[in-house]
Amino acid sequence: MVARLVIFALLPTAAVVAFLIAFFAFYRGGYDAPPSPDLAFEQITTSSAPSRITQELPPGPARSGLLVVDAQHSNAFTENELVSFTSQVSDRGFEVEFVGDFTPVLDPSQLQPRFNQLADKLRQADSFAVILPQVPYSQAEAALVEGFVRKGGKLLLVSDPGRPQSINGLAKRFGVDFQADYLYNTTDNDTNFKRILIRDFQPDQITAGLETITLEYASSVQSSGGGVAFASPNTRSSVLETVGAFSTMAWGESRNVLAISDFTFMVPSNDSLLDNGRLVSNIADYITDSQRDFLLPDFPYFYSNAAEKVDILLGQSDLLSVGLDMKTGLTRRGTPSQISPSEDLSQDSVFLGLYADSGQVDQYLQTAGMRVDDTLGTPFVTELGLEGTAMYLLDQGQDRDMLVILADTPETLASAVGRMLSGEFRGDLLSDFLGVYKFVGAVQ
Amino acid sequence: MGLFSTIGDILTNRYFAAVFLAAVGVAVGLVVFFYAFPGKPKIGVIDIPYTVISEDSTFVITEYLDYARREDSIKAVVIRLTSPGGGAAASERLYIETRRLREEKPVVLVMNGLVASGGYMMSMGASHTFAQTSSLVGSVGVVSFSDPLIPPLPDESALSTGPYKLAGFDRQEWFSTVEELKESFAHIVISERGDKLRLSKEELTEARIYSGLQGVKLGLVDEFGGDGDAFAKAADLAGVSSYGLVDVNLEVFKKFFRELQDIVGSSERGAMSPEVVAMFGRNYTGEAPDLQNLQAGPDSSMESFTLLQRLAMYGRLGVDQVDPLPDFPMELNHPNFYYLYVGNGR
Repeated sequence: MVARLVIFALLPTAAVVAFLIAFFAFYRGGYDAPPSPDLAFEQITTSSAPSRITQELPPGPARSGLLVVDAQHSNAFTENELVSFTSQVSDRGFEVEFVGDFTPVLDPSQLQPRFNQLADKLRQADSFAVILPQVPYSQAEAALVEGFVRKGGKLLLVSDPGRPQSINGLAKRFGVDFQADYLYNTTDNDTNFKRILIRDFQPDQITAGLETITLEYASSVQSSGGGVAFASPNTRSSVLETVGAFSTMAWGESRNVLAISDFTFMVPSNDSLLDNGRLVSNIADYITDSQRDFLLPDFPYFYSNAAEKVDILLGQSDLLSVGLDMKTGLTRRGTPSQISPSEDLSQDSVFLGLYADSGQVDQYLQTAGMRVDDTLGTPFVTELGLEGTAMYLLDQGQDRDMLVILADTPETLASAVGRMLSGEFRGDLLSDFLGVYKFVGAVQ
Repeated sequence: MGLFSTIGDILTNRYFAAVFLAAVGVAVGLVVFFYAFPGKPKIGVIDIPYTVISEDSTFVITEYLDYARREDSIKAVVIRLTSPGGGAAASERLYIETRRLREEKPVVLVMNGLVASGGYMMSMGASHTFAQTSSLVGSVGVVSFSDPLIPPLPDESALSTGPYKLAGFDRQEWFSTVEELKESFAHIVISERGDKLRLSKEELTEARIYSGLQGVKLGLVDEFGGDGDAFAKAADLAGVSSYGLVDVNLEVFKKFFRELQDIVGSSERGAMSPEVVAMFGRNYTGEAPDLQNLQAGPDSSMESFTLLQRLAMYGRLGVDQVDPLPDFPMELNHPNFYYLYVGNGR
């Protein structure tokens, strides 16, 4: 009986043994899952956003003038984005005009009209802002802007690595080189590594009252004029991959050129972060503090007292039709004028006469070193025959501009005034104050 | 009679009976082991070739992970991953699901080629990671796209109940949200890697891509190795010495295929039931899909195959997202936060 039981026990025993052998052949132990770390996301803290500052900005001094903003070169911004800045400029008494309509000129035949439009606007402008041009400035356009700055016009150059732009061709003429990088700081920033904080300012009008500004996406800018706002020392350049006190705002070769490597700080609502609004205000002060010289090539915009009419003085009464042509031309260019019987030394004036009338304006001729007798003598050209010629002279007194136009005959004078009003006279200029016109038709 | 008598004598012989019963016992034991419990251990293999993580791909990968977790015979899982990452929420979901699987079975992940950003986040859910020296890993960071600095104003015909009902948040909050997601990503990596990580948080969140060689040195990856190392490690962690492999992708596909056949009906191969016709809606052309052809996967059938797959997995959800609200006059924008390695920085 026992033997039979043992035999029958063999089956489960063998089954268990086989199972265990198989089990231990395949399994050496179980998986003991290590505890997963407690992530505790609620403990995550992020750097808090900077407090918005509604800063009471100092009122800007009232001035008159014109800021022209470039919109001829497919500029990569909108008027709405610039409204904070243009409002500040307007509040200071300046007019703001955009030249161009933000679209590129695709038709080559339109290049010259575009150039003429820019030239005309710069003749009027006290300040010029070039912001993110996508189409590079031509050599001629850049030379025009150079001439504007040479006369004392203020130039604001704004770049931004986050937007397409081609500004360096123009900027380099003024000693400014926007670098093809962006600046970042992974530890000291305004909620993002590319949003750098600027606290290091050179004492200056442009940095007055600034403690901290935030630039959303700025490149570094190198300039012969030196920087005025610097990133903190542990800020890096994306290209150089080195740390350094990179400049984000700099003067050009002269104090008439200011270069800024970020556009977004002046865009609402970024203009309300930290001291950004104060910086916009300071730039508006700078732009409206232009001491630009308006010279003979800028006719008729050297007449600065726009509120008062320009007196048109005639050397002889039979020159009335030429005087009326001048009056009409000035009116068309936004300069009110009137025919006046006598000279008022407090009034901007234009004198139209023949060489025979030169005695009436002798003081202006002498001041300019000119002589009219049998021949026309100028500091540049001596002994020029009077026949078929006309001359232009601008005398800029302390509070008054006097333009003198003399010619040998009424016909030559009419032709000279026509050239004056059409702008062709600029080809006749010997200097920024003097021009001589040779009436070819009369000679023949 | 003589033969039966002889057999009877043998069966009643106690020596023979002992051997016979022992053999039966062994057979029973082995049958129980292999076919009932616990069975021959298997390592599930999930292949994720170059995949940008999206809602769709996450749904499929989650199916793989879920299958591997539920299948008792699978004692460990090896994931072969190549991904530049993708959507932030989708990537985080893959991390959570992988981590959930890890809490039941060891998960060994092989970083092939590129495992960056959201892909790297998913790998943080694994028990152990391998990379080749030439793999590219890391990119711990966020990419997002906002409205212009001055967003366009909503049309006067749009009436909403709060200043942020349409946009969700302002630009400053958008910056903060992106920063929060970055912190969250870094927090996951730092928590999961623990003392192995030899990068500071600042270094980690520079979002650099590292070679596998650097990745191991810096503690972003556990070891150098490939599939064989991964299987060995998975077996070791699971405590199994001999194992078979299960192609989880294929098993899930088979499962899907069986479900599809159930939907289509078996009486006439390829004939679609009225329910399926209704599901296809306007996309249905009237022609029954050739399932055999779909399985073979000629390019011409891939579009309809994808549609079928979506229908089977989602039902009708998501199929008509091209024009989800026909009368809604505004363009719908998807959430746009990504854990994604773009490659050129733009």
